[in-house]
Amino acid sequence: MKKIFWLSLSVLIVVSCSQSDSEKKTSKDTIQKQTQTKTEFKTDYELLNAMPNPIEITDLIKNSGIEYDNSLLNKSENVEKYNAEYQMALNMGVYSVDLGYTNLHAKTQDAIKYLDATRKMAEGLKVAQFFDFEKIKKITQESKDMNELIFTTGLGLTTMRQKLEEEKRGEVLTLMVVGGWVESLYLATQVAEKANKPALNEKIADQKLVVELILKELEANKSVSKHIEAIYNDMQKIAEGYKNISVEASAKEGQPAKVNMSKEDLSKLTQIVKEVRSRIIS
Amino acid sequence: MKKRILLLMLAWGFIYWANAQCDVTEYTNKCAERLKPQGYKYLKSYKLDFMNGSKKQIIYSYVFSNNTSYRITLANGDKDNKGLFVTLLDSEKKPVVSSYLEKEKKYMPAIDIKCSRTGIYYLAYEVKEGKDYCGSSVIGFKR
Repeated sequence: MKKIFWLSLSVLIVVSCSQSDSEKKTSKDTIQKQTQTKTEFKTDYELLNAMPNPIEITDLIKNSGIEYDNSLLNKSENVEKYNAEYQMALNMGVYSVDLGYTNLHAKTQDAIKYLDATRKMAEGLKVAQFFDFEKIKKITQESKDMNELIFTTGLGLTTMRQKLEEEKRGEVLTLMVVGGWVESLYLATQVAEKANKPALNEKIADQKLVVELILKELEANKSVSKHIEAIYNDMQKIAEGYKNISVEASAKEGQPAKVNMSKEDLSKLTQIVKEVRSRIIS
Repeated sequence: MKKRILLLMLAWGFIYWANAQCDVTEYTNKCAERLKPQGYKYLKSYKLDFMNGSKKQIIYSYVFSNNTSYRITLANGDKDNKGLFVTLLDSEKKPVVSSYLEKEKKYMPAIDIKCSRTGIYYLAYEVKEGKDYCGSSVIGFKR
């Protein structure tokens, strides 16, 4: 009955979103929301909002059938190492992805450790008040509905991001997004190296578009600080890793895309991402 | 002169008060409920504050992925979602689908999309009629 209700209420559309040149000009074509923070960091909030949520990748990893492996995650004890704001912002992104990974695998013990790590980073960045940690901990411990857990965690992160935008803390927000994206790509490439899963390979190849968006955001800010310059250089290395990788959309809707990524291309990218991620969590 | 300043202050105070009233918590929860029936997982939520009508359109963009199904849900103060709708635009900003059905004059609570090519979409939110300038939208996904 519910299904019928929903089918009648929603409009099902199959959409092709082309990856044309005009797409690459996103921020130029649209209303720019560029603002300057106290540190002169120019933030394109629209671009940051367009970035895909890393949970799409972690969900795919979970569905790939590869066993849960917590040795891939950034150790929760590492929180003590991150004292500078840029480190906290990057690792806030990293830990929130690790939290998503543990949640999707219903690993309660680990999830609580990563929830605490995320909380510590959020406290350091003075945004913890927008995240209902106690509620999330309760849902995790009671092993309630997975979707409710994902919703509550996701909503907390969204609220946090919105507050950072309101407070014009674009640099922190950018680093959070970059940290989370690198972690999700790290997990995806590590898993993809172990098992040949076409959907995961395609998802990895698709991230070429995302690294281009990140570079666009960082390009204008690379002179802001040495940390931003270092992150920009690292993103350029990842972009270099994508040089021979591409995705050709299928002519027919519903058909899988053609992924141009050899084993060597994947190994090269995996190694680069591993090195970049290692610098972020060190 | 003093009267003008007072009027300006009053107008500013009213706008500030009207904006402060746009609490979307309830609407966001309503949107999230609309993801559940077919097992969509939460991705993003947007507060839709049209600033008491002074904002005509709110645009967000998002990278949608190939072979992934997305549901965009909407909610405002009206139980039937009256007035609030979203138009989905492709990477070239051409309209693809709208949650407002022109012929039926109906506001749908959700749009389901099956993306067949990875790229950027634009979500243009508008209020067509009524005076409910506050709402929420949540995007969910499933493979």
